[in-house]
This record gives sequence, structure tokens and C-alpha cells, in this order.
Amino acid sequence: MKSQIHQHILTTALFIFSCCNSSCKKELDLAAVDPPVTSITQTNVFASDGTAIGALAGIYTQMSSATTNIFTGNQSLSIYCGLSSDELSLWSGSSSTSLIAYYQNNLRLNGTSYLGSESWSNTYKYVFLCNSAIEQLTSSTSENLTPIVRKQLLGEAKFIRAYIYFYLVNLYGDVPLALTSNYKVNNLLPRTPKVQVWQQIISDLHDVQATLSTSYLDGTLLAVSTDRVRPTAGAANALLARAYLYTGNYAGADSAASAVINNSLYALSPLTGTGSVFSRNSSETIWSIQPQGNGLINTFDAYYFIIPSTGPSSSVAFTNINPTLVNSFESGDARKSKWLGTYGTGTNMVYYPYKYTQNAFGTPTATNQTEYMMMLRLAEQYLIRAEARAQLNNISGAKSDLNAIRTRASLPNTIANDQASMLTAIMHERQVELFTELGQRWFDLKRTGTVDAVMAAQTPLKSNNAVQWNTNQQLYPIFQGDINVNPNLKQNPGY
Amino acid sequence: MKMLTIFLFATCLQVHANISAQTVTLKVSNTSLENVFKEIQRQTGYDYIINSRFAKVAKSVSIEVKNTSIDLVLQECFKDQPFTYEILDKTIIIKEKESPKNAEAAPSAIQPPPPNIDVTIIVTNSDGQSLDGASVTIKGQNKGAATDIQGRAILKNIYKDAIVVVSFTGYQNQEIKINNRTTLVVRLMTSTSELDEVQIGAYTKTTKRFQTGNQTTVKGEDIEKQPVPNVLEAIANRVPGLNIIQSNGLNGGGITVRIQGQGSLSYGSDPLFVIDGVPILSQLRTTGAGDAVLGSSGNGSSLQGPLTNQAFGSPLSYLNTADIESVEVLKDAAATSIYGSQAAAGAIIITTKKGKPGPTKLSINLQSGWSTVPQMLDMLNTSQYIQMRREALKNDGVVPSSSPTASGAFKYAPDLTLWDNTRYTDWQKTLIGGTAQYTNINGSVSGGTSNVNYIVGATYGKRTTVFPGDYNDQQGSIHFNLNTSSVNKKFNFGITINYMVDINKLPSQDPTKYISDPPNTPTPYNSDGSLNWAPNPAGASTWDNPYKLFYAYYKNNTNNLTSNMLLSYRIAAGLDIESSFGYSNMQTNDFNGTPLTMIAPESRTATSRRASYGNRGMNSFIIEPKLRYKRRLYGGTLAFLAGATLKENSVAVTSINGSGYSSDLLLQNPSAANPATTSYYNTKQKYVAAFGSLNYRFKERYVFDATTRTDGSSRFGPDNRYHTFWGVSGAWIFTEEDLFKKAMPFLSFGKLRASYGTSGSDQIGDYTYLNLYNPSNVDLPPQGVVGLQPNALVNNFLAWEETHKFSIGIDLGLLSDRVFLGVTFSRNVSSNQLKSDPIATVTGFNTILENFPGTIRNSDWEFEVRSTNIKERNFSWKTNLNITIPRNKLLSFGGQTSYPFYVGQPLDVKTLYHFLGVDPQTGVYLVQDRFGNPTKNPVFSTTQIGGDNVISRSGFSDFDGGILNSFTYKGFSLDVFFSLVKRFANNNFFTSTGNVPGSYAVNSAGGNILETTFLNAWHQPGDNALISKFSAGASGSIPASDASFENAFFARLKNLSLSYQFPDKWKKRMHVNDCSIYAQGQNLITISNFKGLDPETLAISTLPPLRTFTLGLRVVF
Repeated sequence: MKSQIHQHILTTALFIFSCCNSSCKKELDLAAVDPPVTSITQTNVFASDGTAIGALAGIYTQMSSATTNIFTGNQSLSIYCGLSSDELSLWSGSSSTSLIAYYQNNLRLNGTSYLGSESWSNTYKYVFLCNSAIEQLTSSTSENLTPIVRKQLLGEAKFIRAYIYFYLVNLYGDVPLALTSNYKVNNLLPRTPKVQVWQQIISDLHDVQATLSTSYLDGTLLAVSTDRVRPTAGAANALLARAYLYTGNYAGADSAASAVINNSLYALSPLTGTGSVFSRNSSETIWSIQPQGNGLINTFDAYYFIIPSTGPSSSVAFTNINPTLVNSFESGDARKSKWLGTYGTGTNMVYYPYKYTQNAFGTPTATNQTEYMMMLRLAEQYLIRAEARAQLNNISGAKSDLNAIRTRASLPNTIANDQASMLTAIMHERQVELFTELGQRWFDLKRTGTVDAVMAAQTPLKSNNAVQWNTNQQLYPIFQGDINVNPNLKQNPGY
Repeated sequence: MKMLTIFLFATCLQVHANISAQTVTLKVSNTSLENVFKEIQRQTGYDYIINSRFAKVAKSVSIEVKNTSIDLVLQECFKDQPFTYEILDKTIIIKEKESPKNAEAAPSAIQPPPPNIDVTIIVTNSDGQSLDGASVTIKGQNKGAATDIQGRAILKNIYKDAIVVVSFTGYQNQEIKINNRTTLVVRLMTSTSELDEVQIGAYTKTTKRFQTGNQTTVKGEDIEKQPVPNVLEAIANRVPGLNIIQSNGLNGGGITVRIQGQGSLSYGSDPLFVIDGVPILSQLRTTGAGDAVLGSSGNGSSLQGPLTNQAFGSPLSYLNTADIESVEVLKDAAATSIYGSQAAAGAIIITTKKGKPGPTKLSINLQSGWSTVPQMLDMLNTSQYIQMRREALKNDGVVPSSSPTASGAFKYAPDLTLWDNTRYTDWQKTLIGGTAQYTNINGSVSGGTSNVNYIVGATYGKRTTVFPGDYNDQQGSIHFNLNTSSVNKKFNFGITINYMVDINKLPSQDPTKYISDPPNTPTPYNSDGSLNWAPNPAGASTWDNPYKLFYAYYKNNTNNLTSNMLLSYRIAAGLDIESSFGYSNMQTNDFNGTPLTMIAPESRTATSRRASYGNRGMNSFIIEPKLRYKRRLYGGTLAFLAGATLKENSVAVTSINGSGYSSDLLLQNPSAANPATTSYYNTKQKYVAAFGSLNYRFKERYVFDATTRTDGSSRFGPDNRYHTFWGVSGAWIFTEEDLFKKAMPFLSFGKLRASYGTSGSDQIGDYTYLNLYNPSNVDLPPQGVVGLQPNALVNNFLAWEETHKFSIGIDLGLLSDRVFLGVTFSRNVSSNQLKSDPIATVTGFNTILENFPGTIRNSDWEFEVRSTNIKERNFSWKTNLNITIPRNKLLSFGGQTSYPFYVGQPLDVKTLYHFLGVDPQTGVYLVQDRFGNPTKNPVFSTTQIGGDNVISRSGFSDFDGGILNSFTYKGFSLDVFFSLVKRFANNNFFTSTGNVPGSYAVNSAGGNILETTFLNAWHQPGDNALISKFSAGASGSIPASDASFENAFFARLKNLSLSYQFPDKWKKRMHVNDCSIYAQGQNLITISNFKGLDPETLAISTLPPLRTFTLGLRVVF
């Protein structure tokens, strides 16, 4: 009897236990939690205007970040490509292996990764952000996503993707063309030939030319704004002009640049002073990015380029203008006195880029920011059209565009009169107009085929004859970590 | 009828419950029984009824007892009486002895078998408290019973002269001849054998004797002997298989805990910490306000990954060590499988002090002491430093200059050109040469009866630091435990509360890194009392004045509550239902300010006053209902446990980073910041489990144990949320077998044990399966729209990391248990690694969290010897030795080797160049290249191909252990504990950064080197030297050669404790129960070749654990 009771209890206990075991599964998922209160799930992000705009704002925020960013900060293309080319010199006290490698055109394997591959990951992160935004904006069926907002955001995301691929293809040559956010696909992508990447850039820009707003919009995308911080149809045209120029479609470049130049929103600004080129929302601005702050009121370009009274250091102001660039300013060029600053005296005097002039610390507010980061500006469009026209043998047209820029710099009209001299003059004008603006000079040297000639002279100068120019250095090495995990990816030649 | 039975039964229970509380003191000889009863009545209030028939035949009584339970007294009184008694409602009723009559009648009767009787046995401890669950068996038979809550077991129909064996966990066995008695009280004495010490396991208790798992106990009394603030420090090197590494010697510093090695490639290898049954988070999350100064609690933090952050400090810093009763370290599958997913890396169970029945006791403990840095380094004096620097610049072919833009043939060297080259500052003495004060006051009151007992303790402690400046850590804590049970003891209730308030103020950076500043630095202060930044002519500072640190501080204010409530009810014989309810809350507010005085004047325009404020709340609650069932089955004891866990952890952290304050005085106020940015996270983890265990013990020599647990964790996606873990184990006490008893009489105890099972880990961040966007935190978002950014790539298919644990061991007792020897071999294989795996950055991220096909094997040998060397009346000497030899090996790694992981090697294997010395001609370092030739420009390869670096050795310890010798002489007792560790570590000889000596970096710490390094340097062609020529440039460094590593073996007198207990006479005179004085020392002597501050933490530029002396007084009233 007693033993039976015991038996019974044992069975019951086992039963309860097995019930517990099974009830914990699926039917009653006690271990499920709600999403965190501090984040939003992806589906919800693209389900309403405010958060979808926030997703794009997330991209712009990264573009203005001081770290791991190709557009500004200490890893910007202005610095890297400036050092690689004949624009910038490195302060002798800098002990940064990476900066020295860029400067001496001596990019190479260092430990586990290549010096010079920083921009690879810093650029591809934007590709992912754009791709997932494009996918989600396309697939979202939410009623709270206004069609007009969806259209503009889709346009912006495609525009930025094209802008990013422009830098990728110029820095690395053939690059994986990721057009989805699926990591399983992207993780194994091989490199796509340059031609196809350019095709993608151009077709994306064609797409958005029609869909992007023609006027500048505010943060709601429903009203017009004076802030030129969102991509517009004008920006799409400007980038298209650049893409056509780089790919040799000169007629296309001519017409796309004309569309911008003829747009009444844009006019050349004075070099300095109120409403000058690099001041916030200048009439020359086609597209800019609002600096985000983090202790700095204005741009990180100003912070990293301007040499303070206490001199250069390894953390800021570690570059100055390469003497080649200083010497290439024609006498009387107002840009030399206005866009260059000086530090030191006598033979120790060095120049630094002074396009952005505000490097003060403090809290940025909607009113105390006086300079925005320039992404696309009108002067370049004049020079693009001048070059396209010169290539199309429209020398007078080229001349008038070139002179528009020269006049602003207080220089006399150009004396170039034939196609060859005109192209040389335009290239020189680009050198002194567009210096330290996200690698324009470095790309110009490469696309015009002058890089070997120029750098063969520069590299030994920069390395005290320790390094000679190697033509493979014109393409930066791709990130070794990606090659390690993706068997389809091959390193650039020479690395 | 039924009701009546229940009523009677209840009454009966009550009677017996009361008995145990009553004691009697008697001294009578040849006194009549009635007079004895009268005396008992006077002392206890118990009435008596005696029939005149019995009174006539009553025999006189002689008895002498003192404070003895009435039961025992009556038993003694009735020993020779021709009748027996019964107690009903506080009345002693004399009644006929039934069985004796039958027994007397038996011989004359015809029935051949001897008549049997029913016997009621009441089992109590030495205090007269009934023991629930004691085993009562009849010798030579399988028949037996277990006692109920009243300590009563009824054996039916047994032979009147049978011998019963009474045994209970933690007590000495007792054998009693029934002698025809129907009721007998058996008082069990606490076992003096350490084999019978209670071991607290996961949800269960056992003894060393019957334990099947690999588990080690450190007792509170051993922890008390060590003046350390964190219990983890107190158990270091005392438990085989346990590795404790302090990150630094700061108050509240981080501590890494590894049990049987590191089983995870990158995520948590932290054990489960359980305080009084409540699991606590094994890592703190960063407050985001400068808590990094506390130091890390180890890589592989459970809190890495998306939405999570780094962890600093140790959660056990906020538990008062004085309140700890015992610490159990659970290692193998037998011990940990029932914790399932939480204990892949083992478990540490901390039990705080519990109330005990007895008269009210007040205990007071005062302790005071001082701490210093145990060992300083021999660094260069000024003339040596100047000599080194000048030679370095000369070797570089440059001339020292005072101009910061000097280039070409000149090099900026303010230390040579601008500073006084005759000044001397001993930076070690200045920055870390102070004496820290230590004070601790602890008081507790305890007492109670067997039905209600309690302990309440309060502690205040204060520790200062060795740094200049006003820094200290103050802790106030209370501890409370109350246990109560209903009169019939069926219902039990217990509550334990630990609460601590800790205010820790530290420098915001560890000043130790500045001990290598040049010796000829300028005076730290100007004549006007301001900091001297020794500006150069251009106005830039020429050094990073370390005294700036003492204008700032990090302040951490933490309140920690852990509480647990336990309810249990006995449903039927052997069947209990219980539930624990635990809640813990840790609330931290911290602050870290950077006043303008800390910032070099020229940088003040480009930076500003900064302060950060953290607010962290960590909450967890847990409910664990359990059903226990115990019965005798086929001559053995079966124990069954089933239970469930519902747990929820939540962490919310707000951190505010402010800048732009208008005054240093406003730094404490976040609203004075302009701007202030806020970051916030709030995560929740839910956890459910069902578990069960079955334990069967047969003939006190075979033990079998099986456990299973099904776990669900919210950290995984719905598809892989649940997993079942299990474990089986067994033990065989072979010395109970006659064969062994005869063959090996020298063996007093011998046990073989083995276990195998699985446990898992979910130590990754929360919400990893959700595709989340987080707001980006910047001063000015574009167009006022706060950006949203994706958190990480999402993997929906994450599943549990799993460890298969195998363990086998033998425990031997020799020479009547004077020597114990334990050997355990364990092999844990961890697979399905949760790992942030590299992914092509083309995907937008560089890692994705995956279950990686990597397998890690941790095998270790653990040895333990405990011996009583001498045991005389006035003198004893005991030795306790433990040694662990751990081995860690990466068995597979997704089919390939990827730096820094090498298949077939330990996880932290170093790949180093082979050092060949210094080239006598050029003075530069030479290492061997892959072709065997010397080279000064080695190629580092991560793939073992094309590189000159070769696989060298593991940085994990080769062996570690400890040896404790305890001596007692009369009232004196002395404990001497040495820890021993051998490991391979980076040293300071080739300077901490691996650079060539001779450089001075303006505005950062460092420059000075070890004197031995200086003396071994190359000076001119032809010199055979170990250290390269001095150079101010960074080139020619040997960052990773085998010469910069060394065998950092050390033996450390980690603890010395001497106490004197005053003699009883003296205590009586002073009216105290107990009184002792003591002296304790920690980290007193270290024997090591390690070229750095400390071989244990491998500290080169962090504060090492301090050497501490204390004096104390303990009085119990």
C-alpha cells in the first residue's frame, strides 16, 4: 500500500517534469522577449516617413563622421589621395606608418593588412546602407510612407550609391558591384569590370535625375529649404557630368554640366568672405553635408588641415601643402593667398589648405555653423564642361568656361588656343582650383594618364629617394580581410 | 475516524516537536522515580501521571545530566523500569511495556520465530534538533526508513534485538541495538571527518564522501583570513582547475575567472555566479562614464556583440566577504549539467551566513591595516637617462633641438634642451609609493531556536589608495538571514538579504603608467601652485604632467542588493515542494570629470572641460519551483528532483557625456554642460528552463546521478531557442567492499568517480536575431533629423554553444583519513562556437555572429593533497596542496587556420620571431628568418606561410597551484599560504612597447627604461649585446620575438594569518564567549624573475595587487 503511494508520487513527479519540459517548447514561448525599447526593427523603420527619413539621415550622419569615413576626418580621401599625389606633404614628426606609406607611395602589406586599404571598408559600408534602404523603400507597403517621400528617399539612396561607386572605381579599379543587402551574396562577390561599374553609376543617375526633387528640401521632405544638404536633380546632373567626363562621353558631360550651369539655383561665389564658396549654402554649392559636431562646430577638414599656433602634431595638422602645388599657383592667383594658410617663418614656413577656415571647438547649433562639407560644387562643372568642350574641339566654349574660373581667381584669361594647350590649361586649373577636395587631383592624374610621369618625379622627392614610383601604386590595395574570407576576390596587381 | 486519526497524528507531532526544545539538568542518585518527575515538572512544566500499580514496582533512579533533552532523560530514567511511558500534550504517561511481556512470553510460547516489534526512532543532532531525512536501516538487511520532519522513523515488525544504523549527511553514523525498546532517541554527533562535510551543489546538497562530481569548497573561515575586498581574490590558487587573474590592484578592479580553461573562441567563458541561489550577471556592463579605469574582467565577455558593450570591474566587488559562509566551485558535468546552458564554463556558488539555533550571540570584529606596492622596478637615474637619450640622438645622426618643427639634422628633444638635466624624480615613489590605509568593522548578532533563527550583520570598510590625493573605497553592508518553520516543521520559510553601499573614488586613469616618465622632468608645480607644463618657446607643453591626474577623479557609487526567499512544504513523507524567489538589483551612479587644469594650456582652445555621468541599473529576478522526493528503494536511497526556472535579467544604462562647462566647479552638474549627449540602452533577457535530477545511492558505496535540463533563452531566434542538456555520473566507494578492506587496510577511504555530460552557453548579446536600427548620437543631426543606423548583420539561425564534459577522478584517504589524495582528469570539448566571424566588408560589416565550426579542448589534471602531519594535544600541523596542469588546444577551426588561432595549438599561442641578439656591427636587433638566416627586417605572416614568425608557446599557465600550511599551538594558529604559477609572458626587459630604448614622446607617458635594459645595450661596433643601440626613432623594433617573452614563474607568499585565541579562563573572567587577536598579511613575498611590477597580473604599467598587513580583534559576547 505504502509502496504504491510512493510509486504514484514518483510517476506524478515524472509527469509534471515531462510536462514542464514539453510546455517550454513552442506552444508557450516563455523565453520570447519584445524588441528592445531603444531600437527600431527594420520593418518599422521603413514603415513611416519620419523613421525612413531617419534611415537616410543615418547615412548622412556617417558621411560627416570624423572616423572611418572617406569624406572628412583623419581618413578622408582629401588627406590620403592628397598625400599620394603631389598635393600634400607629411609633417616630418609624423610617425604614422600608414600616413608615411600613402605619402611615399609605398603602400604594402603590414602585419595582417595592407596599408592603403582603409577606404575599402569605409566606403562599402555606405553601399550596404544604400542597398538596404533601396530594398526596404521599394518593398514597404506601409500607408504611412508617403509616395512623394518614398520617391525622394529612393532617389537619394540611389544617388549616394552612385556617388560611392564613383570613389570605389577610381580608388580600386574593378570592384565588387553589390546591389543587394544580402550578406551571403555580397560576401562572395567577385570584382566586376570597371566598365560595368560605370554603367551602373550612370544608369542609377539617369534614374534619379527624373525622380529627385529639383529644389532643396527640408527634413520633412515636404517643404523647400535653403539648406543644400539633400541630393537634388541638380546634384544628379553634376555627378552625371563627372561620370561622363571620366568615361569619355564628352557630349554627355557637356550637356549634363550645362544643365547645372544653366540652373538659376547656382552661381559662382566669391573665394572668401560672406557667401564665399565654402561657406554654408553658398550659391556655388550643389550638394553639401552638414557637419555633425562632436566637439567641433564646423568641418573636420578645417580641424585636420589648419595648423594651430603651437605647431603641427601627430594627431592634427600633420599635413601641409606640397611645394609642387604651392609653386604651381600662377603669380597673382588669389586662391594662393585666400585658400592657403601659412605657419612658421622664413625657410621653415609651410602652407596648409585654408578652404575651410573654421576649426573652433564648441557646440554646433543651427546658427553657428558657417561651413558645410562640400560634396559637389559649380566650379567643377565649369571645368568639366571646359574639358568636354575642349575634347569636342569647341575651343571657344572651353575658353569661356575656363576663364569664368580664372576671372574669379583674379587671373587673366587663358592664353591656350588649341585643343592640347587647352587641355593642359584645364588640367592645371583643376589642380589649383580643386586641391584637397576628395582626391580630385589624384583621379585627374590617373584618368589622363599623366600619373606615371608626375609621380616618377614626385615619389623620390617625398621619400628622400628611398622609394621609386611604381605604376601599380595608382590603385590602392584592397582590404586583405575580404580576400581572406572571399576566395573570389583577387588583390590588385603589385600587392 | 479519518479526522480523528489526522487529529491524533497532528497532536503527536506537536508533542514531539516540543520535546526537542525542552532540556533538563539533573543530578540524583537512588532517588524515587516520582521525585525525579517532580523535578522534571519543576524544570519543564511537564505533568506526569503514574498509576499506583506502576509506582510500587518503580525502581529508583540515578542520573546525572546537564541541559539534556527531556526525551533522553526519560529514556535514561526508564532504562531499567518494568514499564514505559508516553508523552501526550505535555504530560508523561506511564504505561505498560507491551513488547517485553510478549518477549517474556515468547520463549514459553509455541511460535518458533522470535516475535518482532515496531520501533520508533527519533533522530536528533547534538543540540537536540530533530533531523529530517536521516536514514535508518537495519544492519545486515535492506530494510530501512528515512526520518520525517520530526526526525521520526518507524521500523515495523523488526527483530527486538536488531541493530539499527542511523546515518545522515554531515554526521557520524551510529549503530544502536534495539534491545527490545519501542521508542528510542538517537543523537547523532557532527562528523569530524572532512568527508562528511556538506557540499552545496546546484539545487542539492551532498558530502565529499558521496559526491560524484568535481567540486571544491572554500570555507568562510579561510576567506576571513585574507584581507582582500573581493571573494574571488580570496579563492585564487586554492581551488584546482580555477584560474583567477586580477586586472590590477585598484579598489574594485576587474577580475577574470576561468574554470578549467577557456572554452569559447571569443564569447563568454565566464562561469555562472550564484549567490544564495540567485544567479547574478557574471559581468558588469560599462556605464560609459570612465569605468574603464577599473580594468577588464576578461575577454570573451558575455556582453560583447550587438547592443552591448565592454565590461569593467567585478560584480563580486559588491558582496561583503565577511558575510560568506562558503564558496563552491563546480567544474564537471556532474556538478554543472543541471545548470544547463548557464554553466558551460563552470559555476561558483556563494552561500552567505545563515542563522543557527542557540543563545543570542554578538560578534564584533575590528581590523585595521596598511597596503603598499610590493615591489618597485630599478629604473634609470637622471645621468643614465641623459646618457641614453644623447647616445640615441647621436646614433640617429641628429642634434637635439628645442624647436618643435625641427627637421632634417635636428630633432625636437625638450627633455635634453629645455629641461634641467640634473633634476631627479623617482616617479615610482611619487606616484605609487604611498601607503593605503585599511579599516574594517564588522558586527553581527545571531541566535534563535530550532523553529526561528536569524543572523543580522553589518560591516563598514574603508580602503584608501597608494596614490597621492584623496581616493578611497568605502563600503557599508548589511546581511540578514531569517529561517522559520511551522511547529510541525512541515512548512519552512527563509529569507536572505545582502545589501551593500559602495562609494569608490579613484583617479580617472591609473597613474602607474607614468612611472616610466623621464627622471629629469621639470618640477610638477609652478611657484604659484599651478601645474607646470614646462612650455617650449612656442607655448606648447613639453611633457604630460602626471600630477594633472590628481585634479580629476572617477567616482563610482554602487548599491547592490541580492535577496532570496525560500518557501517549502512537505506534502507527504519524503515529498517536498519548494520554491525560491530571488531578486537582485545593482544600481550604479558614476562620474568622471576632466577639469580644465588637467588639459595642457595650449590644448584648451581645442578641447574643453568634460565630464561623464553613468547610471546603470541591473535587475534580475528568478523563480525556481522545485519538487523533491526521497525514498528508500531496493536497499538504497533514491532522490528525485524536478524543477523549473523563470528568469529575467534587464540592464538599463544611461550615460551622459558633457563638455563646454564654464567652470571646473560645475563639472558635477550635467545640466551645466553645453552640449551634453546622452546614450541609453535597455536590454532584457528572458530565460526559462525545466530540469530534473535523479540520484540513487546503494549500500552507501555506489552512487549514480543523472540530470537533464531543457533551456530556452531569448538571445536566440525562435527556431533555435530551446536546447536540452544532460549529464550522468557515478561514484564507487570501493573501500566499502570487503575485498578492498582486507587487501588494502591502509586505505581508509577510496572512491572512483566519473561523469559525462553537456552544458551550453548563450553568452552573446541580447537581441542578436533581430534586425535593429539604433539612433545615431551626434551633436547636430542633419536637418534636425536623428539618424537611424542598422546595428549589425542579422543571423536568425544562431544556436547554443555546447561543451561536452568528461571527468574521471579518484579520492583516497590514507592512514585513517590523515592523508587525503585527490586526482581528477577532465576533458571538456566545446563546439558550435558562438563567434563573430570575419565577413567581407563588402557586405557593409566586418563580422557576423555565427555558430562557427571550431572545437576547443580543455583538458586538465588536478591534484589535491590534504594531510594532517602532526596532531598532538597542543600542537597540530596540516598541509593542503593543490596543483592544476591545464592544457588548451584548438582541435578544429572551420577547416583552416586563421590568425591568431592555429589548429593544434592553444587559443592564446604566440607566434614570435626567434631572437638572435644584436648585430655586433650595426647594433640592431636580429631575428631568424624562415630560411634560418639572420634578418633585421622580419616579415610577419598570419598564415604560417611566407612569414618569419613561428609558433612559440601558449600564454596560458603551464601549471598553477597553492600550498597551505596550518599550525596550531595552544591558542595560536598560523596559516601560511603560497601560490605557485608558471606561465609564459611578455616582459619589460625589451621595454614595454617593444620599442628600441632611447625615445621620448612629448605629451605621453614613458621614456624611462629598466636599468638592466640600459646596462645590456649596444654602444659601439664589436659589442655583443642583448639590447639594440639606443635610438629615438621607432624603427628596428622587435615587437614579437621570443626574447621579449619569458617564463614568468612565481611563488608568492600570498597569505599569512596568525591569530591568538585567549584562554577560556581569561574569557570567563572577561565575560566573553570568545576572544581572539590576529595579524594577517597578503602578497607578502614574491619570488620571481619577471621583469615588471607583478608576475601575477603581468603588470608593467598598471598598479599591481598590493601588499597588505592588518591587525585585528574579534570578540564574541
